[in-house]
Amino acid sequence: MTRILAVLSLKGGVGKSTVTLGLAGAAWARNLSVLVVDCDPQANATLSMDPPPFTFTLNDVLADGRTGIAAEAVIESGWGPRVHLLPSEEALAHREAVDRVGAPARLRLSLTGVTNAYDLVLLDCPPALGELTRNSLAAADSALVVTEPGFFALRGAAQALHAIAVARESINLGLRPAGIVVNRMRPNLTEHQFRLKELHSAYPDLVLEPVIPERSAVQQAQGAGLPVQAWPSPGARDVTEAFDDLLDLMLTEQLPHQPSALG
Amino acid sequence: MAKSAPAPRPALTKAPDAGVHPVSGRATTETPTIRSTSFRPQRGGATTADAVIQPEESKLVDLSVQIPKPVRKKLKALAKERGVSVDDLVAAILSGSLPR
Repeated sequence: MTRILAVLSLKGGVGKSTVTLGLAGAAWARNLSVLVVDCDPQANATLSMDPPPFTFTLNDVLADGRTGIAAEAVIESGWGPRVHLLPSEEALAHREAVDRVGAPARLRLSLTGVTNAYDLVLLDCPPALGELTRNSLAAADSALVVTEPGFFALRGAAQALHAIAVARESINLGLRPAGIVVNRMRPNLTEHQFRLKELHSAYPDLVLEPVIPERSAVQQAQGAGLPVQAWPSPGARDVTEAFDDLLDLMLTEQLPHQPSALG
Repeated sequence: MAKSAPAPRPALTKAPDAGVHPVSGRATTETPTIRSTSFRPQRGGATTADAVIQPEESKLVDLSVQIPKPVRKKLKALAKERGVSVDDLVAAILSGSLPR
């Protein structure tokens, strides 16, 4: 069964694309079929997946809006034949504007019949509560919130959880929170320890283990257009193990169901 | 028994605003509407950017209003910068602000 996972936070720079790519890489390492839908006009995930030259992007798909039309834009990424990409581009920012009736459902409709071919579909959201994030929440069956152990990021995580709760009551009744993953953790920093404890205290049932450690290998692999799982360094191995455990959680059915915790 | 081939699905095309930078302003995928006939280009230069859209010419009437002096100063400066009269500039601003 296909798992469609939106990866979001309302704060920028916490590592949504990094987590998306980490999960895609973990799926790649297991030879699972995965589709990454880059919903962020910054197109960082697109760039990091080293795709061949492409013509169509998510912008064209959402502008068209026909059922199943996303199939026309999905390409094989540079990571191999089982890792596909629906790329993004700068012009995708146009789609943040609401200009059509039923706009939040456009991504879901365009992906109809497309997602069935994959074990995992990852929707990499932009750091904003606009139409692109709304479309992602409407298309996903679960939503993973990314944060880092810092004051602003924790606030962004709380806002993202609230957005999930609102989306579940309005545009996607089947949406479930997949939890909160803490990225870029440095356990030796007192501030990080404090914020992690704070997060556990606020959302005891939603904070996921493992925590993704901060390692330079992540940026090195992204710069090289490779999955971090393919990067030959001890730091990459630490991150690989964390993403592997996270993928296990994402592929199981045992996701949190605490509506009260999301209020 | 051979099945008939399904009709080919229309191919995806580039979005009309794919080449427009988001910062340049809101673009839309809606079918462009035909401009109201009550508005037409009055002055056209060699390029599209030179076109100045103005209200349809109609009978000109006087309108006397009191405005703050700094506003008049700004109007005069802007009119000079654009090479139009203050009257034309005020008419264009009011036309753009009022319901059509």
